[in-house]
Amino acid sequence: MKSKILIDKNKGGRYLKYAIRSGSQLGLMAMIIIALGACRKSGFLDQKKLSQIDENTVFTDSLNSWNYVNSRYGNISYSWEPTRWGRGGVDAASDEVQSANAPTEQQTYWAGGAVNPSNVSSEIWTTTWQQVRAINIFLKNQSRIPMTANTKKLLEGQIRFLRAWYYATMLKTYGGFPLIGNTIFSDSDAIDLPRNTYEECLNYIISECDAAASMLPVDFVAALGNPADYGRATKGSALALKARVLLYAASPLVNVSRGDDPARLVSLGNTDPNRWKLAADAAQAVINLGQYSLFRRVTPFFYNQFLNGLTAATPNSEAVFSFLPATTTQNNMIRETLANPATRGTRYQSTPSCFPLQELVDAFGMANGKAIDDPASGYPGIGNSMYLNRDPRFYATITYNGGLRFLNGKATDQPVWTYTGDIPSSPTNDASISGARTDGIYTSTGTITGYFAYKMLANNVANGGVELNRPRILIRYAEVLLNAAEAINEFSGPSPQIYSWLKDIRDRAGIAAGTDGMYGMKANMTQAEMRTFLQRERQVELALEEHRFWDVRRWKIAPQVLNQDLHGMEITRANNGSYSYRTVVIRKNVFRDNMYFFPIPQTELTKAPSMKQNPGY
Amino acid sequence: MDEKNIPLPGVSVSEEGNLRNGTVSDENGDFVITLKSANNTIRFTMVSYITLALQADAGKKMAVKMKPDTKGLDDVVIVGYSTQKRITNPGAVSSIKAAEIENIPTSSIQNTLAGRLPGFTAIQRSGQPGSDAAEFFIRGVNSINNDNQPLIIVDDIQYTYAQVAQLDPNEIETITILKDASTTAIYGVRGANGALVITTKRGMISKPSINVSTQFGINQVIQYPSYLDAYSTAVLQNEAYINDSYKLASPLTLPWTAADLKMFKEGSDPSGHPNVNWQKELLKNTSTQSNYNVDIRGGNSKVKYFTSFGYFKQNGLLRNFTPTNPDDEGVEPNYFYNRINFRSNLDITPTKTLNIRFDLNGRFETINNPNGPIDAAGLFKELISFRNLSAFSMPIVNPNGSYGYANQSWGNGYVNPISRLANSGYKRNYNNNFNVVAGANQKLDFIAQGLEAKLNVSYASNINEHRFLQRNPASLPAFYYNSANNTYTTKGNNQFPVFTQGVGNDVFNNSVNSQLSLNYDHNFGIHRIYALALVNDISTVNGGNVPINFRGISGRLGYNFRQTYGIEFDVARNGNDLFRKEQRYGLFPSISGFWNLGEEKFFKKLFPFVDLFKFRGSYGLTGSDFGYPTVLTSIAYTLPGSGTIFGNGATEGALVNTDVTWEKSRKTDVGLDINMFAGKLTMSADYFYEYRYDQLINQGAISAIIGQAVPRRNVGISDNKGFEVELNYRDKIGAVSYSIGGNLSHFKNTIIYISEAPDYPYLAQTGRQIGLTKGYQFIGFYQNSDFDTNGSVRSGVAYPLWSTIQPGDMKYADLNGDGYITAADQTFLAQPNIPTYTYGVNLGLNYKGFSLRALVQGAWGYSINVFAEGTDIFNGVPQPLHLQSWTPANADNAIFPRIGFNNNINNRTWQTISDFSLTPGSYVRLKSLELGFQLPKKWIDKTHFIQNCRFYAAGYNLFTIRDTGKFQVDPEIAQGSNAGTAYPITANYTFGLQVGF
Repeated sequence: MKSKILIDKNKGGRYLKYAIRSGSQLGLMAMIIIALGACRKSGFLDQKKLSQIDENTVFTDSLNSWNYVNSRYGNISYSWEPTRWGRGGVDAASDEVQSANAPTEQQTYWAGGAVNPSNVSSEIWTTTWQQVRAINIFLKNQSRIPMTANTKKLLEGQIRFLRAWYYATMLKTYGGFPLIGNTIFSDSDAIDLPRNTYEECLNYIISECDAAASMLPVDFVAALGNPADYGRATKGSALALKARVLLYAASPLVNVSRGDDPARLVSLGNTDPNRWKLAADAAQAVINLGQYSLFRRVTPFFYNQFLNGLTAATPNSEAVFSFLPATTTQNNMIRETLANPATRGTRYQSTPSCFPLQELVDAFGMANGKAIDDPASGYPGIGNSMYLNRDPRFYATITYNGGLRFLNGKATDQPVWTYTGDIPSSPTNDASISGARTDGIYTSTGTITGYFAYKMLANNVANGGVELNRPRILIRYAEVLLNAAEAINEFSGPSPQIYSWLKDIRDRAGIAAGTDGMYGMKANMTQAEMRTFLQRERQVELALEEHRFWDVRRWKIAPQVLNQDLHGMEITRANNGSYSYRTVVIRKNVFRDNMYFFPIPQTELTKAPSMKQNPGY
Repeated sequence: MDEKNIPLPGVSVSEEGNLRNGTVSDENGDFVITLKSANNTIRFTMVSYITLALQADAGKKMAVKMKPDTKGLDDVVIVGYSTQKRITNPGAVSSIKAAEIENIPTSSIQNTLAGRLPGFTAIQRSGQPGSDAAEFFIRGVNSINNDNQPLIIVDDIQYTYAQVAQLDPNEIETITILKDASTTAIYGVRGANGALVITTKRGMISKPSINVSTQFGINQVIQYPSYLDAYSTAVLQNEAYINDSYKLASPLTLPWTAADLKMFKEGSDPSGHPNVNWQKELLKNTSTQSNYNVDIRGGNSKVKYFTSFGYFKQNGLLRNFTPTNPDDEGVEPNYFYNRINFRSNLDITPTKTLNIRFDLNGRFETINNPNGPIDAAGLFKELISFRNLSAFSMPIVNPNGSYGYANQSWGNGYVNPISRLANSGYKRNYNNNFNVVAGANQKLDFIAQGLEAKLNVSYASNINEHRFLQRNPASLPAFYYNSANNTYTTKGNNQFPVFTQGVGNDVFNNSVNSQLSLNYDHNFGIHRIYALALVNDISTVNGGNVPINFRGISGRLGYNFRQTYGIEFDVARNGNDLFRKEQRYGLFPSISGFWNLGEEKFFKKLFPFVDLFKFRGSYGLTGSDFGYPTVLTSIAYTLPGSGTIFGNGATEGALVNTDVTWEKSRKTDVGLDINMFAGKLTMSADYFYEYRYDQLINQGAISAIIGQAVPRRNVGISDNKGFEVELNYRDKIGAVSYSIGGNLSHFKNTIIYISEAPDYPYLAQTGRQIGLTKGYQFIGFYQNSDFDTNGSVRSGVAYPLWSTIQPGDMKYADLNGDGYITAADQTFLAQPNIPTYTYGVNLGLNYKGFSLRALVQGAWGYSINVFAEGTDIFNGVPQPLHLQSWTPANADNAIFPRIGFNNNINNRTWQTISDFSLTPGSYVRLKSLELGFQLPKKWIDKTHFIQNCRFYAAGYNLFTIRDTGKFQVDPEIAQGSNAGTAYPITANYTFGLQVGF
């Protein structure tokens, strides 16, 4: 590289210096102007307002406040739902039904005796606290809702009843729980509360029921003049809940002193026969309202009471408290979706998922009202005639081999086939001939026990049949009568009043009165006979309605009925068309002594060390 | 001129003692300088050359010869918003020059970086053209919060993972990762995950040089999984039916008779008893790729330019299928990727002190996918899925030439995949990136010597669109051929559907970034002071959303005494509008320093061969707001349709945390840099510790009694520690020059606090690594001795309730000892899927015109979880592994549970996650290899216009040694149900030609 070096100390240097400086200043000026332009926007980092509805918006508006109360009904059937735990709910954890093979679901842990604080489902715990929080928010805000005191009372009555309802589910599930009153927690609170005793929780629920009952009308439609309010919680709902909770409290499970329960979380600490009296009086108070009677509006009464749309125009006099889901097709078909045989499929799911056990089938007596183990009943034993002349409630509860059900494309109801063995083929794929291929026992789409559930199913809803607005009746008057009967029998023995209630129930069921007018009942039963009779009657009348799971616990008969093999009916067809019958073991059910109550979920105990676990877990 | 007497453009020539009087040598290496002082000394400086100070004679021409600086002490390294010399840099930085990677045949830049930069972990999860970019981390995983993506800065613009993947290596000058507090604190709330900083090539003072390069190559699948043929599959299926009959009153009817098996074995009935290797039928072993680049680079003292244009195309592995309808010719279903990219980097110097920069660049990509496969996960999921494509699912074509379908009960009626691929069209994604950077750099020596102001305004946009052309693959005509009675049954309504077209806009986002900075750097004799002040604004818009705005100031102040001691302070104060006004800004300071022991006299005397021996250390605070939500200020109520007949409802929403803030990281780093033997041996080592706190995590320890979903809070704490070592040696033996280097990185993180309420101590995450899989401990198989005479599990042997257990089923540890295997027996298993040790070994050889470069890269310390189709028989297509399943005879050597068809949930790896399907992984890969030949100058001089010409052959992912346990998967595969269903990773071989004019 060859370069020329010039040395000029004066003129050139000064010129250069000037040029550099003025150029620099210009450049700098330009940059500052641009930079200022870029940074000019004031509030560059301020958050932009996006619209939002908040607590204030809701409770300063009467319509929003009504809507807020409506939302509190959203979970009332949470312990009852047949879809709870995937399929079958608690019915599948008792001796009522077998759930389809869903091995990781909760009912398997219960049926197999393996439930523990880690694997127990926590939905009752979490859902209850969610609704309680929401209810307490309402109570905090209710003074500023712009509505009349009278209307506000109707809202408060409903919402306090609902809180009692959720707590009552909590009480039967876990025993005592922390009573938090109207507290609303924030996430900075250290929430470490001990559980209150069973008795304290019981008293709280009872007093809330009483308070709600004092605010609520016996008939909401009459009180507000709006048919759309049919089905809201009423005075009767509150009193009936109180009666049920008191019946549970009087029952042998908790009306006792337990050495392994020093904190009295799951027992009352003594045995007080007077608790039966309280339960009886509470049930009598519901009856005394004169507001309810057994459903006899559409025949067959027993079957149709569950399908009767709950509206002011088509009331159900037996429904004391119901969940009325929004009328979506899915809600309307929930039972069919779970239980219809595949040949009667639904548009949601063609594989049925819960199947009645033989133990439930055998609980149904005969049409003459006698139990099948009564020699006078006329029950022929296992065989071709075993499903004939049974208690009419059997036909409204169970679909059995040969039972007639709606079949798409046929004018009349056609038999459902649950057998195995030699299945006739049908060139036209006619389910009335070859249905056992899909419905039969041991097929992958068929029954597991030889039966399908039918209770609360609309016969023709499948395959585009009529959809109904389907209430879920959570307390019905028949239960109130049975509660009253049981409490009176336990307190003072059988009475004519008990017989008359039972006759009413059996008459409505369609059982023949018989020449003695006793509907198959033995006259002059002893207290113990009546106890056994009432237990059987409850099992049949209230089957698949979330009662059996709890009843066998509170009566303390679970070790006998649940700690044993449970059965189904295998029917084998020979190629000559004749059937042979065999009861088969469906599952070995296990009941351990701790399983009277649910364990508190372990994570909840880890979070709140002051809370104690239930005995045995 | 340089040591070979070749003119050297761009040398800074300035007057000693009056450095602001200066110029640079032009494209011919010439310069003119007018000196103003009397001492007549001129200083010549140039990067990578030793600075010279020469006496000038008035009026005489001067010939200056500069010597290269081999010691590497003055090598420039990039730090946040600025540069440093290796000798005075106090921070932890690793970098490479793009020349090392530009010929590696992969489309994604980060794939080339694995093993080259210590502290950089890259894992390539897929080989699909256009979607094969590796995910990467700097110093591993630091955050519990899935917030581990480094900050990516390309020429001062912030990029995303996807955007950086598309960069053409030919445009890149340097790639740097910034790892410690001293280099990342200046990024403040965005620096905690480290930064990847890329600079692109710019013009320089030289004659225009035009470079043309072309590359053509093939991609070869590294390894297809091997599957069992129809006969073996049928035998196993029969075995499965026998096993599934355990305890049944009447055994299941076997699906295949002896006659069936015979036909499978002999292949005597290819229509009724097909035996198809679908992988072979649908896929080629190789596909092609090509790459073309033209760039022009040059400039003079007024204007400098670098412009380039590139085109890259990579084809897919599908075979070429003839569509049924001849009109469909040209409807391209095969995977492919093409990219057109351009860049124009322009520097204009209107005055001696002002430099204006104007950069334009863009990338336009097309990614094509076949539309045929029904399954959401695509063709590779079908290939591995038994229900889709087993060896006997259907014949390739029926005897009459029509396409068949899978009509067995386990085949789900899938239509022939060839028909679907040939006729179902494509889905094509278009990604368009367009960026502009305008800037100016003004020297302000008139205010203070060494001061300059810089302004940058950039706009970056990214628009993604797609188009599909499709026929419903499920309704294509298909016929089941019954070979027994020679009849055809049609499937469904046999109409050939028409194509439907769909067009959509997927993503539009853009960001505007303005930066104004003042930079100061001046030597006062043996003292050097340098400083930086910067104001930064970023506004990012995603689609039509409200923009997310970021603003901050950063500063740096440093002092060096000689080059022996140095201390530096960095600070950033920045924040964004995600956070509440009162706590929007965070302050992130750091301090760092070095002590150059090698500059001390006694040390120089003792160890004269040591050029550099520098201790450095840094400590500071950085933050991360990546993936953070906008802070809500009040609880939102919803007015949903009610679940009841009473009509509308209203309800409270989740609680909010108005105090959300960014997570913070305290980083400590100590390092040692050594250069020896005149730069032949260089070494760097770092140890780091990072304490990451205020991490926004779920509050798992709050009682459900609160009754509402609780917000995340800044309570999580984790730490991470590790080391990096790098060693390079280069030398010459005669005409052979060579270099060899290696690096090793390790990190290990620990969760210190996570809000949790574990049921059992073994379910706690505290104290464990981040990202572990939760599952059961596999402890072998149930053996016959575990069962009583009824075939039920003997008492005392733990068993699960989720299914009936029989001999040969998988057995899990009963951790809580209750006699049952339940969800409570799970724990956290093994290691995460990100390697905790990575290493690379580099080799370079030059002999005359020949050059060889190789990189071996590897990793260990991680695990791979391959479940579902990847492992489970009859969920996946049977693999050789299944031949070693449990049978009474093979009870001791079994590596797989007893075969089942409707397999026991206990043995299904996707429902019962356990360490049966989790295996430690490790691998060594010949990641890249390049062999080049530069034509001798005397050959090309005859052409008179070609300056240089080079041929080379290069490869990527050439050779792999791996340990993936029993699985046939790539060692870098993602875990989970994606494992085995991703497009296979390919080895790429290319031949290239580079010509300079």
